[in-house]
Amino acid sequence: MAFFYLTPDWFFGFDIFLELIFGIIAAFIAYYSFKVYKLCDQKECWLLGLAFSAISLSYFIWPLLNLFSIAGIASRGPLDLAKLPFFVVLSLYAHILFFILGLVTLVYVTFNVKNQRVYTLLASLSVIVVIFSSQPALAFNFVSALLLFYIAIFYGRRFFKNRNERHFLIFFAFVILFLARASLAFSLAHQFPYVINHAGELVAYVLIMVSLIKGLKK
Amino acid sequence: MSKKRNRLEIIHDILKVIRERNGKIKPTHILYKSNLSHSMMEEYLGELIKKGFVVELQEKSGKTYEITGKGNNYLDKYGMIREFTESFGLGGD
Repeated sequence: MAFFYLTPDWFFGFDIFLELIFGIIAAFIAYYSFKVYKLCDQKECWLLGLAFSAISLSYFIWPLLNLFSIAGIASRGPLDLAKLPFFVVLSLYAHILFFILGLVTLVYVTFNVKNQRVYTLLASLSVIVVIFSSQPALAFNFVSALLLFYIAIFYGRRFFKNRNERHFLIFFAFVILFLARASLAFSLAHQFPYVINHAGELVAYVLIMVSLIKGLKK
Repeated sequence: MSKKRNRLEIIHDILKVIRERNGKIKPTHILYKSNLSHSMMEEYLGELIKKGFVVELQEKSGKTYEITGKGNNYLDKYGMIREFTESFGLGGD
């Protein structure tokens, strides 16, 4: 079983820096979600905080994996998970698990269904598909992209219903996150999708931050 | 036509009415000022008590509701709460 992304050598280091930035921005959103939850006691804010905390953790684990040369070695060929040290494999699965659970929680918040069984079904289906896939990297990117697609649809509908700049920024950010994640599916055969993914995610997280700061300044 | 209020706005309106009455109010006044049906008002007051935004007091003249520090804090920071929840579509409809 192999898990790898093809990455250009010159990008090594930049990717780690960007992943840390994504983690910090996601942590900032989680912090504000919990802060607002403390003020208004709305469960959705707590769930949003939980979602971005999980996504943030996932981003902080990703550079660790890169430091352990998962991406570096991968540029020279597929990486066999069976030959990796146990803690690296564990970190890889933690990265996958946190990212998917974060996105599932976000999707659940946008569905506004308030039914824990729906949440557990969504979460377990998404995780099982990736963990038991013979191509976990492909399955991970496909499931993540699908979840991001549903989140983007939610924000798109909100924007077209009530057009304003901040709604557009969030909608556009999630469209970019979806496209960036979808592009990673091609990183198994080409080097550039990995760079495109990181550039796209940077733009998306900056847009989310701009929208958040604009709102908090009001 | 006026826009339908979401949960956060209704909570804000109820707390504002209580604060405007020196922090203490009878349920009939809430009903009159908050523009809610009786059952909806009961539901919201139950939620506000559970969240610690108001306390129910039994006085000689009948039941009254008093806003707490947490309720006042909600009103003071409502702008931030609204903007944040709006950004992420957490209106609590």
